[in-house]
Amino acid sequence: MLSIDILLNAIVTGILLGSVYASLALGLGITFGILHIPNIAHPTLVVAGAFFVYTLTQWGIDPIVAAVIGLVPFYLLGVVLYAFYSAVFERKGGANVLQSLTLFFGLSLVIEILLSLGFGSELKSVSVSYIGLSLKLGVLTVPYRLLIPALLAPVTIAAVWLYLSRTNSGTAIRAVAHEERALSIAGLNPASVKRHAFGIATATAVIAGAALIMVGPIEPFAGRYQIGRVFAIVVLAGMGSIPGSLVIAIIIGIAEALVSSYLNPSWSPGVAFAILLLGLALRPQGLFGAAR
Amino acid sequence: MNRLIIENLSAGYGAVSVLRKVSLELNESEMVALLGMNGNGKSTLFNCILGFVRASAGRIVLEWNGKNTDLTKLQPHEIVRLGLSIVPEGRRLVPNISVEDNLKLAGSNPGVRDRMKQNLAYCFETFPLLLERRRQIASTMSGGQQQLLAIARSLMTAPKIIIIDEPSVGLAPIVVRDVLNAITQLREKSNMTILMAEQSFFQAIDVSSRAYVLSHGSIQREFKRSDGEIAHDEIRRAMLGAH
Repeated sequence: MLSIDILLNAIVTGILLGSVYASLALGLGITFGILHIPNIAHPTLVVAGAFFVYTLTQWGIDPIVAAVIGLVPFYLLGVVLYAFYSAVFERKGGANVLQSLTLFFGLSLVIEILLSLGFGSELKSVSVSYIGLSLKLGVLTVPYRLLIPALLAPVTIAAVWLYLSRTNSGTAIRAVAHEERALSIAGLNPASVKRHAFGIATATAVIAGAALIMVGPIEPFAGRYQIGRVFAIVVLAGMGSIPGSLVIAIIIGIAEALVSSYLNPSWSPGVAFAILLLGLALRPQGLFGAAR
Repeated sequence: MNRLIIENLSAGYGAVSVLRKVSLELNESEMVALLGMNGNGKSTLFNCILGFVRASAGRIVLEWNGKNTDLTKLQPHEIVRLGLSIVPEGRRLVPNISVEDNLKLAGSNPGVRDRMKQNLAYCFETFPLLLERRRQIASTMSGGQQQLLAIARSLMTAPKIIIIDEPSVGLAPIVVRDVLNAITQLREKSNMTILMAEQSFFQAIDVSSRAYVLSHGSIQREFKRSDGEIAHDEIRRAMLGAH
């Protein structure tokens, strides 16, 4: 019977962890999945979001409220980042992927160093009344520090997806990478549509940051461990499939939890890539992506 | 008089010059054909008018309701908001969204947003086929249907002038007739000002009041309907660059 307990707990933990991964991947799903900009700085922006939330919680503000307060400043940060990216590359005739990767790699280094200078390199965590308590359901033990952040993902993803699929500015965002000229012909400025999308993507980083720092303590370089995983989620879901990324993230979360429970926790970082390789071998367009 | 004037326009790509001192004008409610073989600069001229290609010399001026605007320094979306609309070469629809979303996208720019409902209703009334297929993904329609969608889309920005680049290219002859009928019908219905490029010119000149022949990047000749029937042989000779 003991093994059933472990199995159930591993699956539930996996679902919750996967949901947190989905929050982390959401912004990349917009910048890379929809705009095709390989923003490897996104996990570092999430860590910056976590430190923003950490700072506000020091003044007694709840981490989720802190994340909501962070939406506007992070949106503006994203707008500025895109304006810089576009001035450096796009206006000079198309950004090549390697150059973009280098820019965002450099950007994430700069953010990490700024965070280290500002906050020191030791682990930081948030202390809220419900963190440390657990919900007990029969054999299941669900810690609130995992349950509450996990609930953020479906809400944020649903909000972003409704915006993208039901509004005209959402349609413009989905259209811009496919046919930039169609936007100009429509009397819309493609550059400002992309800037807006990048702003939304960066705004989601502060919500993911709140989720991340509630799950466990983090340090300025914590984003690096997430890069592979979030790219795996976006690519495996199928570029541009935002709801699909939640499903994929949960599959990866469950697989990681099972691997760490039954095999060895040190193997779990490789799980996302194993699933990515297997998934792409079977369905190259991603599990939820349309064939191109 | 409301019109679009192009004066001594030159343009090209890097060191390659494509247009040399092109001058033409388009008056309100007129339909003018721009004839020329492939590679003589028709699309470059249109891309210049819409701001996708920068002019190296010359002016493009929209004179409308007493206001004169030089288009050569403006961005494409600003030119569209001034009332120039294009049905471009290759159509440039957004492939992965529905017919209705393609139309709404064009109707959502700040200049026309508050009239979106009326504009959409007008498009569906003019092209009932699109109403029938409004949920269909654009890329899954046939070439002719996509061309009709591109024409309908150009109406969504409430244009003063529509520029149509080779509406018949890549379409079966029977479909070409449908597309040209749609353009003619549009003219009869709303007296729209249209500048249309074509290389299969027979049908184009039948519905146009004037025609320019563009050859080797400059205007070779201008034909007017008042000269009587436009002589096909003469046009063909001009298109081939003979004097």
